[in-house]
Amino acid sequence: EAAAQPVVSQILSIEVEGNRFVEKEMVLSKMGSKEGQELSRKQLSRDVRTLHRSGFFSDVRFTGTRVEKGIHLVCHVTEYPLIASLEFEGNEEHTSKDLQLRMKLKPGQMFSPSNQQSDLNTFRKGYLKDGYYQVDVKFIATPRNDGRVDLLVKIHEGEVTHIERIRFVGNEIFSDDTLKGEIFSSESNLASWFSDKDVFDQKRFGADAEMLRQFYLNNGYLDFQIESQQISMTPDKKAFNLTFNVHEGNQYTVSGVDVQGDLVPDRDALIDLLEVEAGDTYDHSDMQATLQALTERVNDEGYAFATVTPLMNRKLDERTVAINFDIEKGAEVYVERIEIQGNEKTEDAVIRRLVQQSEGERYSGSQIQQSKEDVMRSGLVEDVRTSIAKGNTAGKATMKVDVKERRTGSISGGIGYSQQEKVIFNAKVNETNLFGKGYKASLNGEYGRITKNVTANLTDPYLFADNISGSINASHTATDPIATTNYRTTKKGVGLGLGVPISSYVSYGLNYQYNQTNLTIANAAQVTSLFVLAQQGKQTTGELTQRLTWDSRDRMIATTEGYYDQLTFSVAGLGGNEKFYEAAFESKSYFSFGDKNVITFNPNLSASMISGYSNMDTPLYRRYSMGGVGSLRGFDTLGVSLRDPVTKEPVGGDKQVSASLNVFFPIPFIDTTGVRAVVFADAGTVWGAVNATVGGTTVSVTEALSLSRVRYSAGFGFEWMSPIGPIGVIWAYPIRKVAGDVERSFEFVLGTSY
Amino acid sequence: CASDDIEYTEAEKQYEAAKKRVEKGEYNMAAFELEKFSANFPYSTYAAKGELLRIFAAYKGSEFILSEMLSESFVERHPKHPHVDYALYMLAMSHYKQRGSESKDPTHNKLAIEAFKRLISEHPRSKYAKDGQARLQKLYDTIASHELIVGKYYFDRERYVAAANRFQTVIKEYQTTSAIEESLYYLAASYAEMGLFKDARQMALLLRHNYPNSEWSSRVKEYL
Repeated sequence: EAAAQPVVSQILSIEVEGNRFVEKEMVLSKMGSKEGQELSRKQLSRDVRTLHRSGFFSDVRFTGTRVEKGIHLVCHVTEYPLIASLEFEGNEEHTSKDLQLRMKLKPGQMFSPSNQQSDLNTFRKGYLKDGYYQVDVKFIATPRNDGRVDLLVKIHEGEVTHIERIRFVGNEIFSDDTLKGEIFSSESNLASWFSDKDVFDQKRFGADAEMLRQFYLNNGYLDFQIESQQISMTPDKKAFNLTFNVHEGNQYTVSGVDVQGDLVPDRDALIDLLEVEAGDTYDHSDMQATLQALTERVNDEGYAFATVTPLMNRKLDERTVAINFDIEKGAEVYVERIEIQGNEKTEDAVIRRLVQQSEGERYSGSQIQQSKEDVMRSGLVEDVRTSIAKGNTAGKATMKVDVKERRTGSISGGIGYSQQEKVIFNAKVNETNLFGKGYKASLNGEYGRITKNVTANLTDPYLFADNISGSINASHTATDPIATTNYRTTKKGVGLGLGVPISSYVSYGLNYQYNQTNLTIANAAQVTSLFVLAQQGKQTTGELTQRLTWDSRDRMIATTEGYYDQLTFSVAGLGGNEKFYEAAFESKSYFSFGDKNVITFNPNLSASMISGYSNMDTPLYRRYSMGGVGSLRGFDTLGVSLRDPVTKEPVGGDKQVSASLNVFFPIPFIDTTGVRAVVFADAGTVWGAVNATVGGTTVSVTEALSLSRVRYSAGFGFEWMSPIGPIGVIWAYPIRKVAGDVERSFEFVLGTSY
Repeated sequence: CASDDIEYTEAEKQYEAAKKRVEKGEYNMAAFELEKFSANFPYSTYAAKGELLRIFAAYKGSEFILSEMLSESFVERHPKHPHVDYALYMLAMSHYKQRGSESKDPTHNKLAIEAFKRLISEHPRSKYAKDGQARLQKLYDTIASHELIVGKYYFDRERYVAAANRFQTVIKEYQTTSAIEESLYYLAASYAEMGLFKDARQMALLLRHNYPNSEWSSRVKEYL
């Protein structure tokens, strides 16, 4: 009897019971135990766990019936109920549609605890982020006859919780007000409209401690500690009080600095990067900057995974600290492949040419950072991410460049209104990534009573492979300014251009433009200015223009930060019969304040002068007049100019200067993105001396630059970045005008930003 | 029981209605209704049929991301279903339809290759496997051309190590594609540029031996 036969426990069959929604085959495929195998208890308990984890079953267990040849196995499962319908109650801050989109619980899905937990977390996070600290979510499931449930999500949102007081305990060196200025959280006050910093946010509260620590460390208090940090609710339960208990400690001076370890590329190069200096008060931000600079430098030598550790030798009694930066370079990494992904429309090479890192080259952290910025600035993508994955062999890596393309094509059109033109129609077709090759093309048309205009433009930003851009343009313009002058012009032009980037922000452009202008007198019977008569007939201009541009704007439309400065110098006389030269300077700056409701200050300045040479006068249509959006608001087009003493027609000056200040801000209670208001002030004037000679008679108008002739205006407006382009209305009022000026207070603008 | 019968009839009725919509070409509407159908009759024998029909409707309605997700979940949940080969095929086809040309992102080409390979290995006798085989060649051709294009990009910019790497990939992994001849030529040229004349000659010989009639064979003479 002791030598009993081994128990035969082969699995003869596996049945599944209790499943309604999940198929038997799916259960079997998830199981490690199979028919024909020896039964293993270990495997069975593993199977129970796997099936549990699949998220379909509230209960899983096995039973077996032993027969002579083995075992018939039955897997008993209890499914979670399926959700038949889903409803919401009590949500105001987020719409039901929005919530449903983020939820795992939805009709046809299982009402399982893991799905419930995951959705509860989603709800919490979503509401806490906005300061709803009292949010409470309940799932109420009502069973149906068929075993499914109708699910009701009951939400109690509560109120947004603000911060009433922030207190500090233990600070002697720095005042409460100084410390309040250093942290993210802020008490409710007047400035709260600009930011939501007074809404209590757990994450922000967590970061506050770090901010305090940074602040003290930056001032040399190396022993600084936060002893405790408390939140308490005000008695009415509507707001929080925050308290920070701090230990300040002593201020330390740096007694010495050095580098050690893997000195790549060499000791001197690394020492040069140290921003921490002996004799200075210890400053943590310099320390961080040094660490980053050292790491990046070693990265650039091909060591992608280098680490730098500061070894601090503190002397308590002397209150000094000696710092030694220990460098560990790690393995040298070569980038084996660069894979570009997400470019469904754009050709591989168009993105690849912006990536400075090359395949087969050593990894360079700074190049990759620069490449990311360049890809973003190309305007072809909404987002770009890079990642480095270990390659097939040691020391080799694959770099992935993942782009999210943006829509680059736009068709916009609209109806504008101006006092002179009455109604003006415009249409623009624009594509900044033509055929996915990165070509920029645009076709622009305007049709109004006075102006009829068509312009076509094509630019290849990489005409000669090495990011030198080439462009070609053609235009036809006809103007018939009946109301103010007695002439018509038609202008035909073609142009060629080259652009060379000098650095990331600075570029140089060279253009040649050939124009033919034909000026005819509209009404021969009317007395016409001699300045106009002098220009009668066909004039041709061959003009070479050089431009130096500094452009660091964060985006082209609705810019919030950056500069745009341009210096232009052009000469006419290379072909064509006109001879003149022109110099111009233009500058736009943008500064923003606030993190929720951003306010942008935008001062602008422009100045230019034009002059004929070889005894030639400057042409009428190139001289300067002002008025309208983009020039001097509050005045009509050509509203500010030098005027013919007899006919009062605008004849233009040869020098101009203008300045303006825009302040953009969000409109209270209007939460639509892209809508903002603007208040502005403009100033500008034109002056100089212009001559014209007709049939031996020379006339001239001269006006000296004088402060009393500088026109001022101020006004306000609204702007909407609509899907078809910016739309704006402004009201502007001249503050100082000069006799002869033509005013215009209201303007409706389509397609251009202020 | 009685209620089961009623539900069965109701499921059948709604399934047939969705099928009619598909037949009429109202794919997107059918896919939308079938989503509700799946939530309403999860236990019905029509449930799986409904899912398959929804995959088809989404696919025909050009919602390839949806058909991709639906086929993927069908394959996971009904691994032994008699029509699982169809779902695998639709998964591959959904990627196939989202694939880009050789000068664009090759991700979907690669995913389609994986899915077709799985279909062919798991269901070699399926009628869909045959169709998949034919499409695989086209996908390999595109991927190989992509490697070639990137290689030529680096070649034009005189980065010959990077270029040679890409050409080698074509020769190692995509031997049966149309890009092979040009890749051999450019690999020979890259080697020559790097001063590896022996290797250049070897590639040139290989090209002339295997593809004597190719235009690239006549151009490769200088490296012999």
